[in-house]
Amino acid sequence: MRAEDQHSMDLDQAVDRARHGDELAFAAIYKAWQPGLYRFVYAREPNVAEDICSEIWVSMAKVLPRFEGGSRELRAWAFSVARRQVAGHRRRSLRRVMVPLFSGSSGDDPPGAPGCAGRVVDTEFLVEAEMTAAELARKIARVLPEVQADALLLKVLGGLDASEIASVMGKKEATVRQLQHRAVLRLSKVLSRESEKSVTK
Amino acid sequence: MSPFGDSSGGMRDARIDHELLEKLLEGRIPPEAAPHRLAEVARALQVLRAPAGRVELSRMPETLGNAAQALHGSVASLASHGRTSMLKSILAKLSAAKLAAIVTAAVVVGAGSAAATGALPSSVQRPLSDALSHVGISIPKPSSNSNVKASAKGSSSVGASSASKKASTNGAKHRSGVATAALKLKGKEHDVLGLCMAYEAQQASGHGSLSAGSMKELSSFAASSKTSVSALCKEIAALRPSAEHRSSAAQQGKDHGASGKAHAGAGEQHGQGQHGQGQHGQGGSGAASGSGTSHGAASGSTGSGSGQTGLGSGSGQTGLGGSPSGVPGASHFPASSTTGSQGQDGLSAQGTYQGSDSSSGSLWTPGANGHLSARGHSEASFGATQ
Repeated sequence: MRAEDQHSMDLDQAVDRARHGDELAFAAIYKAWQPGLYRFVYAREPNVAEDICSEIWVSMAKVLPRFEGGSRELRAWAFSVARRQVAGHRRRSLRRVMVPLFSGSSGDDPPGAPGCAGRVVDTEFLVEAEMTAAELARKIARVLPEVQADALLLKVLGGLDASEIASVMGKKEATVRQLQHRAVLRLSKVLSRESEKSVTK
Repeated sequence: MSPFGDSSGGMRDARIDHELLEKLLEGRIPPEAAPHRLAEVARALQVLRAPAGRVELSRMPETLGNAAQALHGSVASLASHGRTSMLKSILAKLSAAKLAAIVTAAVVVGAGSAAATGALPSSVQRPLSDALSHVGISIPKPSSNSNVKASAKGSSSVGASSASKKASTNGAKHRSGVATAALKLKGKEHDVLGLCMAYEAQQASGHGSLSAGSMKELSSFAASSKTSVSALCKEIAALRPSAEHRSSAAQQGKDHGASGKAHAGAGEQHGQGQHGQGQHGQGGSGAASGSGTSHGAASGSTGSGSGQTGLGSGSGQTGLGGSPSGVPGASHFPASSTTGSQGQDGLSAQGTYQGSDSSSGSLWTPGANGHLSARGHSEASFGATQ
């Protein structure tokens, strides 16, 4: 049995106990999933990542006694909520965006703006030794289109499989695989370029 | 132009195997083992999977505290909701037909239990008992009927115990529908008797001493007995021996043997006492009660004629005890029964009636001493020998 499967089985038991009000089991789930959840949210909304994550955990505690499913389903639910929370926060943030008095001639997205297909990516991508996982996730989210970044981060940070990611994103499973594939290729390209730059320097 | 410049053609060439992609994304390929072009990606993904940093878990206590509160609240609300919803679901599953069947079954079981214990009203219990007896199911009959049965049994052991005496009382009631109906009017026996006496006096004298209200009441008694007033009064009068009757019987008791004499004396006193009050046994309730209570035992134990015992216990026993074969016992029997059967009420009519019933089932004829003697004899011997 793989360690991952064993881990999942343990989490299944923890979810079952937490469902009946076991705080320790709930804490175990928190410790297992909070890092990935935090990094996923941080990649989009670094300033409110902690607040959003807290809301998600409280929501999960409210839902858990009535939740039907195991740890995988609950984790998919948590990342789905996280994705919606991020999207909602982003919408609210965009309403508050002030029009700059002087705008750049490019009309490109400002740095750190939500990624979208076709936008100019931040090519200043370096995997620094001191870079935290959350910061790296944010970097990836900035260089990849949003859907690709989501497909990739949900897989890597959330541990969700293609079908679960497809459910979270509202897409087909094959589409998710394709997005992941493109994300890896694009990331590889960027990293290779950055690596070459660092070598030439 | 792609964000990667003119490298789109290169991307097409850089297809990644599906299995390799899965391994890469799941972290099963370490950076060193990954293909060269994917080594940096593998390294980046490895950083993404790094253990939790301090910052990432910095708000854990606060978050878990809030979550724990929410969790307990949710569990509690779910538990209460679960109980309600379970009841609702059970009721929802029960169709109207099933519900009706359950209610019907409960009613049948309840009625059956009531019938088996004889708790139903007599008007229901009796026909039910009769009907079920035909199919071999035995359920008790109403209390009056059961007493009748007891009376039937008890009549063979009259005088053996106070219980048999009581049964005898009930048996007497049963055997005369008229008097029973009248006597069922508990507490009104005196009224009936008094009314009947007044009625008889009125009939004898020819002028009215009975008010219209009293007459109406007497008529209602008679109606409840399904007879006429005159018939009712005649029967009630027949049920009680007159004072003369008892007195003469007591006198006859004197003529019997030594013990019989003693008994006769007591009986005489007793009879005279009652006679003196002119109530035909209605009076002297205190002594009568005592004698009545021990009457059965006395009569049973004095079957051989030890009237002394009976004397000691009371006047009524005297007659019986001293009359294993004598008239006096019979003559006193009504008196003793009278006092014993109804106690303070001094229901002479009933007592008298009981006496007659337990003796032979026939009614006494007032003043007919000869008859009385004969019947009294059989009654006395009956009570003594059983």
